[in-house]
Amino acid sequence: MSSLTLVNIPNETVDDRNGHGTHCAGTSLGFQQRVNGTRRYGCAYRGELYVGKVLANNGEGSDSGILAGINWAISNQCRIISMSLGGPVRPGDTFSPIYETVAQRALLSRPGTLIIAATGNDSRIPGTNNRYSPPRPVSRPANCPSIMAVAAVDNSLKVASFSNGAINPNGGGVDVSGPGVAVFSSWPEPALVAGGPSGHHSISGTSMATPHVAGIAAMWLEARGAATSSQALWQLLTSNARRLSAPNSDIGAGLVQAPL
Amino acid sequence: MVDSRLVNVTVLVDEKHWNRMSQIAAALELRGFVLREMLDSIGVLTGTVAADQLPHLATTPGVVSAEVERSDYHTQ
Repeated sequence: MSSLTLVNIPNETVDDRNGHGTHCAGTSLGFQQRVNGTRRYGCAYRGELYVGKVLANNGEGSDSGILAGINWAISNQCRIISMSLGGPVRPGDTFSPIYETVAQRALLSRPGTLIIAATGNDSRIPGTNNRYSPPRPVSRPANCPSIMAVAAVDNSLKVASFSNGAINPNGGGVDVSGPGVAVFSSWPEPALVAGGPSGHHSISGTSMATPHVAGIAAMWLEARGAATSSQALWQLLTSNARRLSAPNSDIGAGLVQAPL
Repeated sequence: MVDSRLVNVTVLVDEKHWNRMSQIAAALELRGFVLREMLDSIGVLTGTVAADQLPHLATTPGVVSAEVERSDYHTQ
């Protein structure tokens, strides 16, 4: 594993004082073996992990950090970039030309890099477990046509109430979905009582769905070989997704599936 | 009215000019751009400029577009 902070804040180190990034990294490439008696998490345990910290410890960040993270990943020949982050988009907004160009170049280069991002969590009506109708639009930068936008489903395979949907044209659609409700992963949770057993957080978000897709993308690369192009990888993820009853505008091609 | 507030910007360089990112950064600096970072694997320059100078960055030869940086990203 390699790691670097791209956050432009003095004294903020690469250490994750938030927990969110650790949780997402665990989902994509967590250990094959159970750790400390916990249940398993993690998709592509044989993958190589590069963790670029692009949001500050308070969970917030800006274009310069995110683009620096993408640059770092590509310069290290990472084949998949997973971004469990997003910025709000209004109905009628278009995507950023910079992110789209960067993602397009990444996708078309050889062997190429697939960029995957969260659709965002703005669609739950506050104080309820209901979803706005229509939902809020897919966030930036997942709203770029060349970035794979990932929505969240729950364990009954329904779209999560918070998960944003396809409202805007020109890339503002949902491409695929992943498990994103009450996801158990590697973020340690302190013991409730001194000396008692510590555990791991279970949290929800399109952030949790995104590294499932990234991890499964790595499994497809492993199964089909490193020469698989990024465009072919995109196709493998969407064409093998499991169709669900929810509409394409909520979950894209369906629930991401690992190779058999 | 002149708007001289400094804004953070991201500048996209034309792929044909990736081998001369430093010269493009220098040309931008003549238009008031202050370089923060050169992201040469993706052809992007980040930095600051006075808000009223932003349109001049996008017309610099070799530059595709210049955007004001967004800083409202969050974990999801």
